[in-house]
Amino acid sequence: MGVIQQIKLLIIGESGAGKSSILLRFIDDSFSHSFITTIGIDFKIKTVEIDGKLIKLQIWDTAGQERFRNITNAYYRGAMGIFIVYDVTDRKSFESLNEWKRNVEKLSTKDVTVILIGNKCDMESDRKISIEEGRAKANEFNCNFFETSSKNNIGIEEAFLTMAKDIYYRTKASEEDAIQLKKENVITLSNEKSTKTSGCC
Amino acid sequence: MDGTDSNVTSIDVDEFKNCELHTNLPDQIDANYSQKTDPEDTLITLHSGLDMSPDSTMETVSSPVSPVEEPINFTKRTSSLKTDENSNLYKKQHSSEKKSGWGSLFTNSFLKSSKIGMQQQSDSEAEEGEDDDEFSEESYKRRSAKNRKSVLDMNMLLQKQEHLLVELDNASHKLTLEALERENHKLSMNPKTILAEAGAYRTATETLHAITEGSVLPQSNDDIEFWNSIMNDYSSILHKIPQLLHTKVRAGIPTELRPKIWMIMCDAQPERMKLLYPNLVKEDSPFDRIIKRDLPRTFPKIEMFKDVNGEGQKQLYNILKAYSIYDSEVGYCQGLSFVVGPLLMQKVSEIDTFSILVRLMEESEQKFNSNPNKPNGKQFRPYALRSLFTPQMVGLHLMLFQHTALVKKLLPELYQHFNAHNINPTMYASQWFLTIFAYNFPFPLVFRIFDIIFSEGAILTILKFSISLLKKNLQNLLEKLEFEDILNFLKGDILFLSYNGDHEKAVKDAMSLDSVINEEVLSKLKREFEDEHSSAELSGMRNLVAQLRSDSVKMLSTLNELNNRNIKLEKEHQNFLIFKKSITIEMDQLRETLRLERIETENLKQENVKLQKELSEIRKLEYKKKFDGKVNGKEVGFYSENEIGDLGDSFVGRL
Repeated sequence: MGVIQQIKLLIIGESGAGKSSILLRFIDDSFSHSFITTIGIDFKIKTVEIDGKLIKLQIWDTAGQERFRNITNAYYRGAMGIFIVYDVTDRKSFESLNEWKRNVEKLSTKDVTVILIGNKCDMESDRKISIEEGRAKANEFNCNFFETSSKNNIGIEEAFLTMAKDIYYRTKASEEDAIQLKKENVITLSNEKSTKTSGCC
Repeated sequence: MDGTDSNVTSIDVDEFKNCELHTNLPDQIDANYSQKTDPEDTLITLHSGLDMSPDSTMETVSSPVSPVEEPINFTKRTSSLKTDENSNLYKKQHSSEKKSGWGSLFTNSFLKSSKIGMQQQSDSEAEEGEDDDEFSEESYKRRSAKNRKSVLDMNMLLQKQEHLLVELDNASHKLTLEALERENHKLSMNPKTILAEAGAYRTATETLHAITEGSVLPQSNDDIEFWNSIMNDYSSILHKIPQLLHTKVRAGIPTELRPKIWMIMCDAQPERMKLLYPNLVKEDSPFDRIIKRDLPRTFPKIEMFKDVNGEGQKQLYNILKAYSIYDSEVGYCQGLSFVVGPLLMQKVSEIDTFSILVRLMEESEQKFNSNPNKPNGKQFRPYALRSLFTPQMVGLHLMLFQHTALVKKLLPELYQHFNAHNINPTMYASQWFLTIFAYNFPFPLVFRIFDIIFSEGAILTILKFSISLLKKNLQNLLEKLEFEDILNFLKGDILFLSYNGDHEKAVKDAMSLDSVINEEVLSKLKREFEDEHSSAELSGMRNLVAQLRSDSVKMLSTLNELNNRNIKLEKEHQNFLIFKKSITIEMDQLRETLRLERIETENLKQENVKLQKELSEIRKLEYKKKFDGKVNGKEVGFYSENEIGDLGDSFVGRL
């Protein structure tokens, strides 16, 4: 069975939020304390299975420092899905979310799927952002929300699969040009949003 | 080049002898010389029977059968084949140099001289002359030891080389002579060709190394002198013998000398930094947070930087923080820690690393001319890495543009291949450029790249390596047909694996691009970039102007519409006002009417009351009249006065 579709994803968020760790966990199912700073832009590939179909995910990981946006901005347009990542132990990374979201609205295609991720949820004692606050932000953004931990492998697989399914059904629906399907899809998605919001710890 | 370098010892030994005999040298040199007794003594013994006049010494030097040069002179081809013409030329130059004094020998020699061997000679003479202040007895002891050993090997070498000499018959002498003449001509036309010959000399040296099977050759001794001379007067070497400098540096600066040589080559200013740095380290930086975040993420696998509280991370932090305050526009940019790391790894001290970083970043020529001890300021070109790290990263975009243009020009197939698979250099080369390859490549090579950067410039060197690496892996890259395979190949250290750890080859390959990647080519590309940039900016501005125009047209029409509506509303308002006024008047009239009517009603009421009273009076009167009439008849005396009034009232009521 061959790959039937390639999905391009982008991971953005403040420097140090754990973007590369999330990606490493998803790709290699591993975690490292000795992570190297991402310079410019990096990318990884993983193939996932949805409804028995193989979907190749091409995931672009970005440097978080603001000045690198003049490099990373070019990657928004081609992205079908974008993860906006913050660190639950770092309020500044949470406060910058609106700016990241504005960037998404400005640069990406209109139908892009966005998922908000609150990373490092294993560090409960250092937590600055409650899960409710994260969820409220996701509601404001009208997007799915996951709290994740790359260290303890929480929520990451779900986040990526939700993203992949969302895009797969969305593009499939538009391809088949079936309005009915589209409607159903919208319903499933909104169901997912309410039920699939994942918490941890 | 190494081959010719190896001439030096033999020649300068002769020269020393010369010096002793013709005491027209500075005392200092004599003192020098006398310190280095042993090898010279031995050599003098070997030289017994030589004519000690300067000229004849010269001849001895250039004579193919001179026993002295043999142990060291691997490139027999060069020095042994000098004809009378050459030696005459040499004599002439040499004697003029002698006249102008020992120091000027060095500075006048290289570009003028057409003989590499001779250049080497005067070079080393100068080194001898200039080293002593800086290089202590220890260095000479080392030299002496080495020389002694080399003298021991001489007899053996002599035999071997004589054997080699036999192979050079007269015909080949002639041929080589012609070749040398051609080289001389080329050199006089373009001194850079010397570099091209370096390989040939190296081969000759290597052959001899192989022949002599590891016997200690005075080569390293010679090298030490070269590096010493760099430490003493880098600016002269850079000016007078840039080719030799480049060749030596490209072959690699000895690890133990790197910190010092790097400092000198980039003209770092430790004195100035000694005043500045301690204060900078004490200050708070707005970039503190992100710098701290990046410390454990810089070379996390390298022992020196592993420990969160270790010296490596502490030094990194201090340097990066100090720089972020020193250059507030750049502040801190991710990637900088990877530039600083390799310097620290080569045991450059913290403050010196900071001084070097400042130099690597600086763009302005003026700052480079600030050292009053340097005779003419323009000798140290700015490395200008700064613009790569400024918030707009213009320098990075320029470099990516230059890189792309070079790939297009030099590796057109690869350019097509990349285009076909949507690979763009931002994806792989930004990391190379922003970290000077330290992000991906083996450190020994990174240090070698640093060596070359300091002597030849940063942007140029980095671009040469970037193209060279692609060129080396051309076939590998062309064979890969998937986007991710190509990009993964480009992003790892896998690119370098094709060299099997051969750093020499990697450097050599990159440097072989001299003729196609040089300052002129880069300047031209820079102008193109700026044109494109400004034309893009211009078209952007034009678009903006057009946009503003159409906006203003739209706004004007909206304004008109609003005006019209306003006029309409104004009219309506007027009408309304008029209407309102008329209504008010009407209301006033009605109010007046009402008032009048109220008054009338009141009057009527009063009249009514009055009339009632009158009526009641009249009735009373009438009743009285009646009553009076009865009293006068028979009914008088039945009703009192009041009773009569009441009767009157009831009567009215009935009415």
